[in-house]
Amino acid sequence: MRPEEKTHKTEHKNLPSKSFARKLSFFIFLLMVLLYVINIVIDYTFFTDLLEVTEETRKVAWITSVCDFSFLVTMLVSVYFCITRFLKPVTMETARIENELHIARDIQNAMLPEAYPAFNDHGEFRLSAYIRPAKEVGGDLYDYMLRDNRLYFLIGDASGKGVPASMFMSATKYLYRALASDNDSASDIVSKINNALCDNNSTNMFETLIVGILDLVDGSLELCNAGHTAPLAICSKGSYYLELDSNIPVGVIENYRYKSRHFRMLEGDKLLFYTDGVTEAENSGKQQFGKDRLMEVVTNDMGKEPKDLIGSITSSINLFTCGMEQSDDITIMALSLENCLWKQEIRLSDSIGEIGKIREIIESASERFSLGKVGQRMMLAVEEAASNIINYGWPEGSGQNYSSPEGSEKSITFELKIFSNSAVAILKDNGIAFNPLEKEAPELDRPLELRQAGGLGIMLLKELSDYASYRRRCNDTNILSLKFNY
Amino acid sequence: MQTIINRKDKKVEITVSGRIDTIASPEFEQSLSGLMNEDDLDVMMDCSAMDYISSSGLRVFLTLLKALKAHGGSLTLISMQEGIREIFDMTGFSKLFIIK
Repeated sequence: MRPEEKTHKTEHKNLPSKSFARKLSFFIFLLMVLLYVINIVIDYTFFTDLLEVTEETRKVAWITSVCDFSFLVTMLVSVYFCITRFLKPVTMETARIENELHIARDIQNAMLPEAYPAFNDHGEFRLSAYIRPAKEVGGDLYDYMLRDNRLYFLIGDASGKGVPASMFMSATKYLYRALASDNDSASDIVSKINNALCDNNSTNMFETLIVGILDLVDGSLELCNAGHTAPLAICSKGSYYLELDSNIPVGVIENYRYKSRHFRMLEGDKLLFYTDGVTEAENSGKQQFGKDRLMEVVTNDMGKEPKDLIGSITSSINLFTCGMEQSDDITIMALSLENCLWKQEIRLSDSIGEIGKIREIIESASERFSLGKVGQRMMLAVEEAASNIINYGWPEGSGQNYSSPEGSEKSITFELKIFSNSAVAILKDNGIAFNPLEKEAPELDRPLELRQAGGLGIMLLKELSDYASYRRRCNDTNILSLKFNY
Repeated sequence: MQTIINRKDKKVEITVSGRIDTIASPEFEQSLSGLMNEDDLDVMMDCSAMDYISSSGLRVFLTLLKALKAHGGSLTLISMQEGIREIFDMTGFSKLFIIK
């Protein structure tokens, strides 16, 4: 679904548009007709009394009328031709510019990821975004992506608006994508964007932005703010503006050290990011929408999911501005961690019989939530994952000593969370670093003699789950997340 | 998990029921071990009551098939449940086994 598009009439202050030409012609036409009518009225009222109405004078009157009329028509026709000839190159130019802006708008829209609903397959969070440029193209930007079960997101606002701002915006977007694909620190990403934009920035453009990374496994959140408006947080306590180091916008000072803040999002919490087009939206009385009004709308509708919350805010802005022309790009991005309906976590020992405990939990959840086939898929995928850990997590001579009192215990935990449209199974263990998702699939077409039994379990867990991610935490814990949709 | 084996000379009928998961697979393999060294066995396995199989179970099937073939025998799987058939398809095992 594409972000809402508003086609605004482009205003080119230097070039009169086609409608101007039409209006001008019409005005001159009316003026000329009016003068002609006045002329006739004067003739009849003033001169009929002075002259005798004879055959002679009637003829003269008739001839002068015809002359006046021809004069009028000639004037009208020549004025019309002059205006259209003069404006023709100008209106063609306008048409060309308008066409290019339409194309630019389409390109810019295509750059933005799906507005909403994003990540439908991931039940533990919801994300929605909305953007409405003030002109055909704008300098506001949002982006998000999911990698290794972490959500990477960005909201930004380039200085100015229109074409220059949008060019700056596209540079930022591609820089961000490239950096977020292998960078796990928000402050690092912002610093690198900053340095890249500072390079060759002779036009002194700058941009405010916030980069965030949300870990879906434990809710830890890192936010790095570069001069942008502070986001609104909504939690059980209420709503409030988050305190973030504001640092400075990007593109201003090279090698500036950006600082980020760390938070933890709990289930049920929401975050709202926006650009100043929201808070600075003006009504006819030159009043601004403001942060207080935004907080009020959000607090009233805090129970709504991101998509609907954004809807409330935009309705409120529209009501407030009441048809006034939009002066700045408006962007809103809302993110929520969903409440899970049911969860259970157990510790397992490293014997294969422990799989029975996993089965009990999954069967119990399956029955309770009527998971049917999804439950079966989940059981098999988790069994394969768990077997791998139990059988291969602590090989002989791996250098990890678990029998001595000094060595830490072997630890395997299994957690199952049920959300409204998906289930998340997480297996954590402190065995050797092992990423099952990296292993090559066995060749399925090999003839019987060459077929090996190995690798099937890993292949099954990948095939049976809708989303799988692996992470090694602090160099001592493997975290494997498997998600199943229904 | 239960395995019932009926033999009539070189024709073997096996009925397997229950779950062939990681825990039950060793037992499953054990119950079939007697068939893996004999020549020319014609084995039919009724899988209608088999409602779960994990990779360990698949391994046992593969081991059995290889052993039988190596000794000139054959293995046919009958009445497999839909879910189990999907697993066999996914892993390419459907191409290796005769499934009816």
